[in-house]
Amino acid sequence: MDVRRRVDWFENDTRIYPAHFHASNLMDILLYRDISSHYFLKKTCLYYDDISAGGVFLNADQFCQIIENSQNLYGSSELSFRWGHGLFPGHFDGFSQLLSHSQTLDELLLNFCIYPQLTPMMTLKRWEDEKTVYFQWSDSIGVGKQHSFLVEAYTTGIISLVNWLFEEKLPWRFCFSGGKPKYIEEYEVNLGPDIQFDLGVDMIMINRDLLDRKIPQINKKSGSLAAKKIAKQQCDKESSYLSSGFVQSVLYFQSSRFPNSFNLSEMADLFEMSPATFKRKLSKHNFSFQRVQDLARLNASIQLIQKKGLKNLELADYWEIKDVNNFRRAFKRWCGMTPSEFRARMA
Amino acid sequence: MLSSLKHHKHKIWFLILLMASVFFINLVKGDVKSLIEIDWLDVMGEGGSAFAMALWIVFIWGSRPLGRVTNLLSLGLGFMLLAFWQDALDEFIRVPSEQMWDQGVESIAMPLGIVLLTYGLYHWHQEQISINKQLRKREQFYREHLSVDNLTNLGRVDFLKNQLDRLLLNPISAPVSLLIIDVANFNRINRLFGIKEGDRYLHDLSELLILNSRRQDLVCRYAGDRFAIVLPDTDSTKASEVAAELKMAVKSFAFKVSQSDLTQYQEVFIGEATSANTGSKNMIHLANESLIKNKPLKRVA
Repeated sequence: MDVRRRVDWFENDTRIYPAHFHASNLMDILLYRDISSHYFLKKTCLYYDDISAGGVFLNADQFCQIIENSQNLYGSSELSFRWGHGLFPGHFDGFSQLLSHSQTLDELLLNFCIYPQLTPMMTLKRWEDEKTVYFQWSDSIGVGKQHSFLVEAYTTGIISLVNWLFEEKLPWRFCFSGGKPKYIEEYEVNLGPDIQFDLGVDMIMINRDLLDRKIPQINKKSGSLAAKKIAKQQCDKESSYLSSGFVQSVLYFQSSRFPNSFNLSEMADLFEMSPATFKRKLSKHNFSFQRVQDLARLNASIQLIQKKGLKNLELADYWEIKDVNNFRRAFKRWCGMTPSEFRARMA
Repeated sequence: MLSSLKHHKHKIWFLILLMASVFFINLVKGDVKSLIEIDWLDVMGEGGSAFAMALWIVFIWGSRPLGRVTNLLSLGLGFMLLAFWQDALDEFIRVPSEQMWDQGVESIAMPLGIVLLTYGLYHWHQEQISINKQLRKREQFYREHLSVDNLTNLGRVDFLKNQLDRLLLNPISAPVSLLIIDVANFNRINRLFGIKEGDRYLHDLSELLILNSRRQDLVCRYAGDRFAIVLPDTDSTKASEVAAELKMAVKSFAFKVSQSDLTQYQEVFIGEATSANTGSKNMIHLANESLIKNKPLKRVA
């Protein structure tokens, strides 16, 4: 019963993202190229005059529609990266202030994990093994086709900000769930040379010992600690109102009892819906229950491989899969490659 | 898309008015045929031709600026449209044969239109030659509008690979060099003055690179703030010379920030590679490696 009260979520038609933050950055890029707002707001029922006046909130569907329109109109794969470069610290009230006030790299990056407002529709999770810290993107609301666009943009945004603050390109490593794109050069120029594709997950990786590095003084906002404290209070307050996206909540519950998982009707029960309604709700968010299960298990397996160095046999044991070969096949379905290939690529 | 249509507003109205009046004159002077009399094959043929003419006119107006060549092309197509329109109307409305004017519209408008269109196309050809001269360093001898970058109007990286492979496959093996040019700390312009100024800088820089390269060179946009220049028939010594000149040119380029009195100077780092009978992929890789070597890790303030 306790769990039930905690299940609280927003859906892809909940108007939750302030249009005058991220979305208007994207719109500005299109306006600079003389693309009329009439075109990029098509099928969103939004008007540019209202947005620029402020106070308009977008739902995930509208946000994704704007992105889709923009990609079609802009006609170049550069758009996500271009948008990303201008995102952070940005002008998001307290959130931007917190980013500018960070002392160390770890503190800076942690903000992105604590405040989901910084990266609409995506959440960033931090985990680590002995040598490496992983920042992993996760779809929070079912962005469907726009997944790689958002990952490209937000990753560029973070890397661009950090490289700017540290005045040098840090030795980042990246892996992406999507296949190797035709515009691989954009990745290399905007992010760096060390990039892997087809890995089933989207992660930014960096050596642990770099995280304690202090941000050079000249680039920090000259503000008092008091100002930072106020900004932090403001952000914490705003975040406390915010529930999780529907997909994020489902994924969270699915992995909360690992290695045991919920079946469809148990999960539907948690969300106080009939299994049929729950299924419909998932498909409304571009997800299926099978995909939720696969994704949650993949994420957990990857952490077990990286953190504890589990072998296939031990992993098969963990998931109570009878045969190692069956596990290998299952992993390949979740990830796109076998566990041994995955280990080799991550090494 | 068809953004230049609005410059041709008057022409559009005039054409619509003209077609409407031909229609009404036909109605007044002739009798409408009964359904059995109509030859639908002819309707399709002539009506379809009229429709195609109208579509061509829309494309011409939608893609061309005002000017003499545009006027000639629209006059030519306009007369042809009129002839086909009259032809198509004939299928529905019978004009008494003692009235010669409908024959007149067809047999005068059509040849007149064809003559004007031909004359217009000749001038279009002339115009294209002069545009080609201007575009030479952007596309050399090959045009593919799908791989043109819409910010700088330079070819994109797929165009670069394509052209590089063509040159490398050439049996007469003259050395080909490739320069990869990266703006030092481009982030700075974006951060201090906004993305719009960043876009402007990239655009201006592309012009500067074109001005400072030789007639046979090909300038492309690689990705982000990285450009590439293909130097045909150029060995590594000459390529280094060209690279040094480009560095100097960019260094003294005084970029004026809009809506302020500020002037920004940027530097570029250049990676070089000279062909060793390898494919474009390998050559681009070598040039990028050389760029990383030439680029200091720490940012220059």
